[in-house]
Amino acid sequence: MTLIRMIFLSLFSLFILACEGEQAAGDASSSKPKVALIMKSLANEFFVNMAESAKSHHSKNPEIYDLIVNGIKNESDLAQQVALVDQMIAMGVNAIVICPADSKALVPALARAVNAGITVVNIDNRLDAQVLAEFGLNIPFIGPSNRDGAKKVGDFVLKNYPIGTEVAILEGIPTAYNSIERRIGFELAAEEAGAKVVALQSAQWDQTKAAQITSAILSQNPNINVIFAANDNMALGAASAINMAQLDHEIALAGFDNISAIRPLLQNGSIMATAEQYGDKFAVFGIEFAVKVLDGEPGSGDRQTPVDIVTAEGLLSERYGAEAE
Amino acid sequence: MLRRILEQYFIFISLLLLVVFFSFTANNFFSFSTFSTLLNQLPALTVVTIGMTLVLISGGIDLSVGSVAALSGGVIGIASTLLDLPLPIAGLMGVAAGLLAGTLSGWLGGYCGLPVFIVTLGMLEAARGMAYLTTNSQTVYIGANIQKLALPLPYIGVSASFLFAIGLVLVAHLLLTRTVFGRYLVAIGTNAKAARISGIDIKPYMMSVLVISGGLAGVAGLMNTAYLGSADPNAGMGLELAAIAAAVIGGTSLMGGRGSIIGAFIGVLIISVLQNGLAQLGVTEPIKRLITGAVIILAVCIDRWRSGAAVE
Amino acid sequence: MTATRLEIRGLGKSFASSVLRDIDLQLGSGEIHGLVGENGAGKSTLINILSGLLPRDCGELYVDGKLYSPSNMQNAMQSGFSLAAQELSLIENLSIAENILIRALPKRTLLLDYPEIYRRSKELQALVGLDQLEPNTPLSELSLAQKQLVELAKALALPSRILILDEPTAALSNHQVGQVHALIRERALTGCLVLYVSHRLDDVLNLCDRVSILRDGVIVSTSESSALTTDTLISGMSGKALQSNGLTDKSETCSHERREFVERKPRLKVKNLTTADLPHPISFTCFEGEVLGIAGLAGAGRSELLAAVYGLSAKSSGGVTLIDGEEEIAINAPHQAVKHGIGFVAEDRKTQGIFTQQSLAMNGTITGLQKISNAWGWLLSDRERECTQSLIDRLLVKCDDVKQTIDRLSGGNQQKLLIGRWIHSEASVILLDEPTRGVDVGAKQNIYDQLLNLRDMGTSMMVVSSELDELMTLCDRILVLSDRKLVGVFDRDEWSQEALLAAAFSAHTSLS
Repeated sequence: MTLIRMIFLSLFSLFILACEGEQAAGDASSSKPKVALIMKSLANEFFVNMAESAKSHHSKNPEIYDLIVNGIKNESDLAQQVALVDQMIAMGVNAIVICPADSKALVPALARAVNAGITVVNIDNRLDAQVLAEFGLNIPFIGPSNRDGAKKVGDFVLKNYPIGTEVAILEGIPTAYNSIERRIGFELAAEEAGAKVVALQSAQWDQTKAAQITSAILSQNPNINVIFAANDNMALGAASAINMAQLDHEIALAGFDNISAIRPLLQNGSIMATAEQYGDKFAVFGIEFAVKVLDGEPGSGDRQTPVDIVTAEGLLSERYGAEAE
Repeated sequence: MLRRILEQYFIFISLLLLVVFFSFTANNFFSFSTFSTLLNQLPALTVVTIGMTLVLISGGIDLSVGSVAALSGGVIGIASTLLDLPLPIAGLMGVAAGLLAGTLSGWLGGYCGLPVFIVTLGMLEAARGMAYLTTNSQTVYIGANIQKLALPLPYIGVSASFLFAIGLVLVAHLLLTRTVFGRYLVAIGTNAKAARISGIDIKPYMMSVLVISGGLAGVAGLMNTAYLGSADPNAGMGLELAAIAAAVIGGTSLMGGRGSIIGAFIGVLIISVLQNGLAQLGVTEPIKRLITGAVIILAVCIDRWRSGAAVE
Repeated sequence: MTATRLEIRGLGKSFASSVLRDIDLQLGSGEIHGLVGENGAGKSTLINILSGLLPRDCGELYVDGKLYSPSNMQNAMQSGFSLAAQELSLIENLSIAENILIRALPKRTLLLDYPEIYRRSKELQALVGLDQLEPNTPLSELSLAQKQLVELAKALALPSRILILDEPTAALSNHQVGQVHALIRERALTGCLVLYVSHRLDDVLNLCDRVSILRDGVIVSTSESSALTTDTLISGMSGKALQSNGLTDKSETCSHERREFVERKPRLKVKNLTTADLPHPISFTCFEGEVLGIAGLAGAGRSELLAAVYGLSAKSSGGVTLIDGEEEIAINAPHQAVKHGIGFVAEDRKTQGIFTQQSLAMNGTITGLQKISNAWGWLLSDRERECTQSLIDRLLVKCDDVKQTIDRLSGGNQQKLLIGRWIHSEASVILLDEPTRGVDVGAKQNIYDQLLNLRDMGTSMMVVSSELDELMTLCDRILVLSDRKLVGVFDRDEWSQEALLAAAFSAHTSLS
């Protein structure tokens, strides 16, 4: 029976501790606002860079706000991200800047944050409008137009291909807003160029899965000339599958995100283009926006950030989308 | 005497030390809201860990729990949205899906005598596939209704899910220590050959423990779905490893025969306090993982040292 | 006496309490030195210290005059020690040859030299009488007796100056024991010191030059074996003079009076039973309140017969029927057997008997949980404690508390509790495979008393044993197996050691 005693003891003491802590929590909010940045996988370079630039932004402006950065183990671990949101609410932060791992499932948790009086800013992956409406929320989205970016990459790749060209699209997690937007962007580009989308499959943002799926697509559709991947990780996977099928330079491949691993492949022509959306700045855009709202500026309405095409020649000079400010 | 107390309550003392440590170092860790948040994110892992501990004690292992939880969530999601069934019915269907998966693993692993490790590894893949199939690989948004299970109740600050999980911990603890069934599990896990000679028909027990684990994974799926307000086919990845880690931290032996449900629950608390505390400190992901890994290994070292001291 | 090979000075060791105290011994090269003592007297601890498996607390060891302080088994081997352990140190998945030569497998550059391995293995197998087996036979196919011989061959594989043999003949038949003893004498002639630990006192007296008696961690005497008898050994080990009955007196005047069977009621019927291991049909009946012995040479199929009766191994044909009043129940699996009141005490305590790291209460009551639980399957701790305590009192198990783990008990006390299991579950038939293997003299007598008590209360038993004395003490009838055939059934008034042995050898003699 000692074990039963133990469990009661443990619960009891947790509550005692909890109740005593309640008073202490109140006076913690000093003059500086506390901003929590909640990322997706911090094993992914894209998000690591984002966190890094947020940290350096903070170190240049330490007197304006306090920053706490957290991420989750893998990009699909929704439960952990919800847990992080709840923790940040418990911690009493003033603002949450978040890249949601899922566009729907995170909304209830963020609604709790808004109800707790926390300013919430959505970056990178847009929350689902319908679910937001259901909760009566108006969370501003600061980010690029993924649809426009994908459309421009698609236009660039397809401009030299004839009508009827066969195209395959690798999408990310099908529910994720940015995956949907990029897919639509690619599809719009294909439609305009008169190309035919013969395969559309999800590789869950994952390189290995993308390689397997691309191999399957290639053997089923030998006439494919163009493959669009909704992120560079999947483009890398597709490139290795193309390489294995010994179809290099016969198939034009495009990605999205402009991660550093893709540069050699851009140079050797395995990948034709990718989109630079200045992802490392998303968090900074979001934080700047949150701090301004906390200072009393109106906090509604979205802000679009720039997207550029990157090829072997480097950044294409033309810019798409509006400037951040 | 002090040494005996230290040995007996070792994990519990470690948990308290962790709480004290984070209370001093992390901002606002020592607060009602933090503890409420922490406890309310536990139920799914707790429930899965109960099943895992029972399986480990009987000398088996169940690698499929994370996927089965996702499958259960998927079934709940589809039943409550597409089929428009009332939530209690949908919830029961989710648990039933877990029981079904557990029965299949149990039949193959317990009755047909295939290696449990391989059978549940197969189930890990198969159930994940089923989860993608049922949800059409998409997160199914269910709504605020199901979240009532996971939201803190007024005054006490913990959710219905959490209370239910605690109830299950107590029931499983009594099952293991105070019933013939539990005693047989311990016997089989300690020495299957001797158990057979002692007249225990091993197969039904090996099977039922996997059925229990599957059913509990189904319950975990319901809890996770309630927590998220939506059914995520990717949910529960790596949940089996977290459950094994919690069980091991709580003193359960992977060789079978030894372990405690309450200990495993404290293992769950330790892992969660660690996760939350480190998150509030703003420790980076690589360091978090490093520390969590070190704690697991440390737990086994200490356990080895303690049981070694007991034998000599 | 020849030069001193091993000297032990003031050796001491304690765990919770003192296990060895002030051990002083001088052993010469070429000597065969017997070490006897009850279980728990400290023999295993001494052996473990000598072979580097346990550190000592105080005292010094000298080998050939040089200070010797091993910190592991490798050290001991380098100093010329070689050990054949009682708890066999063999690896089931390897072949005989690989097991025997594992400490130094012959290699040709990087690869194992199998022709050489098999050649050397053959030589060593021939030494211990295993030459009929192919060296590449997997160890798992061997009987316990054969494994024991493999363990011995393994100890002989490397040249050694000090050979420690811990119960090397426990599972062997008399014939094999003679062979092993000849081998040991040969080794001693080459100057090797042999430390021989055994419960078989006759063997010890026959073989050894001198014998040391260990009691409660102290050497109480070391004498020339010519000056000793089994009686003096036993009284030295137990610390009291033994009344002349039971073990030492082979004419058998047991304290229990044999019941005359007015009306013999059959309890267990075995009819035309065959299994993969027992190709020839076997039929017999065990009656109520009867102790039925099964004799035979090692490998004759004794344990296999017991396992088949219990339903542990699959039957090829025939059947086992339990007669319970008017009812006849077919037995096909252990859980059925137990449900209908049949119990089994397996030969290998460690792997098939005890639940390690579990309490005495758990170990003692596992076969009859219905007696300590209510109708809902809820265990009642008070009943559990009472039942276990009454077992412990009845069987004189030496322990502190019913909640202590069984690992801390000596082998004899573990064995008593394993028999106690079936007393607890009120089994009406108990099958016992080598019930006193590795058990000290005091406990042995105690186990005999308990078994005969059970018989008097109407419990039927089947006993497999390598010691004919044991069977002749316990049994009402003895079945003799030879080469997996049932070759004879002897009643109490018709048996003699010679007749039983002749029957046991019959299949071999008629073949050759």
